[in-house]
Amino acid sequence: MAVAQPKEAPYDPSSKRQQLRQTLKRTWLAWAYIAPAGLLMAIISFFPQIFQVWMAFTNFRIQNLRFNLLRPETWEQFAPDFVGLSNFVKIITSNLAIENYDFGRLLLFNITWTFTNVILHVVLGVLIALALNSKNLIGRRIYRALFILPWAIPGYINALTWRNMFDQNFGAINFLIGYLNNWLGTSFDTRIRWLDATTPPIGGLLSFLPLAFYALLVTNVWLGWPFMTVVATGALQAIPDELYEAAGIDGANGWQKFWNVTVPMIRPAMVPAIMLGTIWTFNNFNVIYFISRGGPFGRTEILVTQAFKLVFEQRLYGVAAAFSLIVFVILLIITLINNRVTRATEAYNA
Amino acid sequence: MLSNFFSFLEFLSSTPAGRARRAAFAHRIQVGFSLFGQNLLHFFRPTERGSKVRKAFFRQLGLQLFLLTIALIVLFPILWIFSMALDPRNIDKPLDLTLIPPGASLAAFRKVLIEPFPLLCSNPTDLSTCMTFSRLLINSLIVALGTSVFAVVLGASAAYAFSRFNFIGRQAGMIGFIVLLMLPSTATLAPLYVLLSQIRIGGEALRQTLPGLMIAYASGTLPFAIWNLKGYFDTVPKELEEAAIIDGASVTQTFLRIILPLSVPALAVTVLFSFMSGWTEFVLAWTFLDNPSRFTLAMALRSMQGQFATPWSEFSAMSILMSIPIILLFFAMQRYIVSGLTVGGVKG
Amino acid sequence: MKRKIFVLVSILVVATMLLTACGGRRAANVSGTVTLWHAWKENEIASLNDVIAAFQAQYPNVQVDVLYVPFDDLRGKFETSVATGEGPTVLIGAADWGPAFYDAALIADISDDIDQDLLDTINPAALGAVQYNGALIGLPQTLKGVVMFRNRNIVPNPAATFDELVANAQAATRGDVYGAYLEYGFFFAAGHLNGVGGALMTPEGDPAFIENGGADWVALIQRFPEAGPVTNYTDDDVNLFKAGQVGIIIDGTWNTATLAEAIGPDNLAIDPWPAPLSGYVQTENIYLSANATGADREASLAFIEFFLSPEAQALLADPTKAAHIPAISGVEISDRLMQETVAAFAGGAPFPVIPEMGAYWDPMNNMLKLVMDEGVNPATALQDAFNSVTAKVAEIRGGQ
Repeated sequence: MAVAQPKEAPYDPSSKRQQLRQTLKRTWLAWAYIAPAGLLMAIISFFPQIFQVWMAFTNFRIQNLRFNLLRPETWEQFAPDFVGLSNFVKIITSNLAIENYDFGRLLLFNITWTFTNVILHVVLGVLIALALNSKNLIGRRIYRALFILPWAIPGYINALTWRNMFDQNFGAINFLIGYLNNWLGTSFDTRIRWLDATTPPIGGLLSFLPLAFYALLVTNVWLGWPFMTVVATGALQAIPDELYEAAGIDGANGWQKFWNVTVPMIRPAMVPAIMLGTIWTFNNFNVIYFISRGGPFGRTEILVTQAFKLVFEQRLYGVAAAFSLIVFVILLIITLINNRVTRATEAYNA
Repeated sequence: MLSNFFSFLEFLSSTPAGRARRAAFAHRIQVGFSLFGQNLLHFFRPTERGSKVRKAFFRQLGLQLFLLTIALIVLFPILWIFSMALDPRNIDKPLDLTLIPPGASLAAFRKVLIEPFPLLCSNPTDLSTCMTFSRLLINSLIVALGTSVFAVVLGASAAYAFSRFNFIGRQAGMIGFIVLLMLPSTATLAPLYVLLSQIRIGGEALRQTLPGLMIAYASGTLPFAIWNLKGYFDTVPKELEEAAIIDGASVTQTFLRIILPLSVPALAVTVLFSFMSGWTEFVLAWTFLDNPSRFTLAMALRSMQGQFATPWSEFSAMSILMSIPIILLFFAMQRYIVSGLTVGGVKG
Repeated sequence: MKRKIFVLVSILVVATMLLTACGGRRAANVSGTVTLWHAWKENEIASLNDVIAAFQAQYPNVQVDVLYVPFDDLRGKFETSVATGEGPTVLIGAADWGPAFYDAALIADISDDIDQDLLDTINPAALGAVQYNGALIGLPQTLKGVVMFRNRNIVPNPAATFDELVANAQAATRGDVYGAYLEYGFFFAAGHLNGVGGALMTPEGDPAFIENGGADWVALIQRFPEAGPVTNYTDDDVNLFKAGQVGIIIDGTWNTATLAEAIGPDNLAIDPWPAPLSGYVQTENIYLSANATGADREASLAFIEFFLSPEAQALLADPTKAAHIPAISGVEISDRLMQETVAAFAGGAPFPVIPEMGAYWDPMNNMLKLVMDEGVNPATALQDAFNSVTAKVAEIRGGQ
């Protein structure tokens, strides 16, 4: 793959040219290592993405589908019109002919969705990791094996299963409530319209969240915590017992030990996981699209499901591409902030 | 997991090793009982030891209650899929909440496993050209494993460069890969189709072949793979490589002989993630592939979802069967996953 | 605007005078390859195999390659591949895909390739579904639609009017058995608008339902709960019907076989629509790809023509296999359920096949849900839907 080459040459401060040559040589070798992945990504990912960026500035529709960059004879008849920023303006000013579309609400929902999920994933994930990591726990291995299941079952299957479970008439959740009623003598509603009810369960500031949001949240928390538990478990196992013992000698109680030893020690592992979880949740297509389908009345739509509907229901490729770019910009902002904190892109020896 | 299974076999065997294992097991139970007995004695005593035992007991009780609740919540939907797979009525929701529905049978499993899929045939008039579970399984394995190989080889190589070299364009390159993690690919299907149709290998467009799918999936998992592998490589002490280089090893040799063997957990995580994406994807596969003999399990699962009606028993049975290999892979790699995902972040 | 143009029954009675004209002008020695994509299921594939075998007996030099694609992926796969210059030569797909495909130059205008004799045998209303902007964008190869299914064990007699339906349903409701479980998702409920003498849109596709019976239509749907529980696009009604716990449901003919199997064919009836209810009747079409050329195109046209021949249509109408309602006249139907389907279609409403229809789905179903679930005033909801549809129609027509 690469020519044998000692990595570090003896450093000679008197010769800047030699230093530069050294840097170039290292650069060459580094890029040789990156080339296979880089080439693949350039062809398979970057090119279509660049095409998508271009589409975002055109009125690309089904009529332009035959437009093919590699075939000039298609250009004249099928090229879309350049429309400048019009797609973006239409999206942001909620000026699209989509049912129940409101960009502000969409963005607010998407961000709320992301943060509530990630927070619950982390809290629950760490809590369960702590429980699994406690001394003398009986059945530890069985629990560990069981708890990986939500993560291991393909997401499409999970999503369809949960959609059926939230059904108003024959959903497992409402059946379960019925059983609880029989058992405890309570009289909870057993005909809850989990995915369709429009009256928000919590009013006031949170009245933009329909019941379907909470149903989706339950589903996605069910799906998402095992990943965080695994990451947290690894971090917890790396904490030396001496630290706890030392804290114990200093008279710290359990709670203080958690805040002063556990949290700082698992933080470095959790931050990249949280960052990743944020990106995944922000664009979590499967859960939203297959469970609530954005309903009721578009109130649980997120940016990527809306973009998908534009493509697959209305064939408005240009607007959908603009949606993708907006998602990207938002995630980039979040990631850059996070990168500042973790310095994750820096080399080890830099 | 596998090693557990083999030691269990040994445990049952009549070899001396098996006898020794059984004896050790009996001893452990004995000790356990006597400890339990002692603790039981102390449990009700107002001594310091008694209070310790009581504390440990209630702690254990609390933990068990908490974890059992979580386990029930985890298992509930899964048992529900099972119940549907056993239901002969092919309804999408059972009319009642029972684990074993009336008339339960394994017919759906048998049908999915043994009978050919009449929709997925090279020649619909000839059932022997139809895909069967085993043929779909082979294709799925090829795609999933191929995706893993691409992701591991390309990902590790690139991650090594990002981790160990300080070179021009490193920051930009790293950010470039991460950017792809954030750009939704909503409208990119058509250009990708055009591209992969242009690349021809042996008179056939790459798009129509399983390797075409593999590289498409691998390019999807690479950003995460590179990110995670780089973090892990960062934790491998530099001194090890320096020592090897003094001994005359080349950069490539140190990478292959020192870094990679020390990074098995992170490589395992990469394998797992890319295997999963190759195993479960169907939209790209249905768009690209034209030849039924190359179809995968995920595509077959999708084909069961009808426009108007879905055979839910078979769909559920297929879902369960499709999940098993991934669950086994998870179990097999469980000890690596924990460190493979975490250590990169723990470097501090 | 009363346009009940489904005069199927009378057409089916018409003698088979023109049938000999079929199979016509294409030479039997045409060679080439037909590549067919479809989303048909097992029972339909059985008939498809019969059709292909019969076709190859007539055209021994033509090769037929068939590929099944799941319905949800078929449209996208066809668009992407044909736009790239590849894809099949023949597609069997939904009627409402046609106009958009034609606008995107993905399917061919076959008006110069198909004999008038053949067109004359096709049900005129069905033929309307493939005539778009002066072009013939495909051929309708079967009729399907929304009908009313009845479990004879629960509700013994058909109803002539909606009031009778309510009375029958109420009489049959006891314990966990419902007399009726009516669907009001827009696709299933839109036909009733024609039933009350209204119209959804003008022939050009502009919304017209406010001044044409919209209020009566919504008032009618608001009465559905009198007959029993109602549903908006869930399968709850179908599931309970299959379990033998519902007497009457509104659903598509594509589910006939499943329902018959679940409750026993003798217990199932398909009723003529009780006045003023009605349901959409649509076609499923066979299209020629715009990429087909040369011998492949000739072979594909021969295949498409053969698909509409009495021989092929009779094979597709096999009640033990596809059980498709023929799109041409002169095919004899002996199966009771299929006969009842044809009779029910006679009281059906034509499904509008123009690109503008895409503007109606979401706003109209939204409107129905707002009225039924949220108690919104029908007049307000109708007006909002009207405005929304108007904006979307403009988007579909005018570019961005």
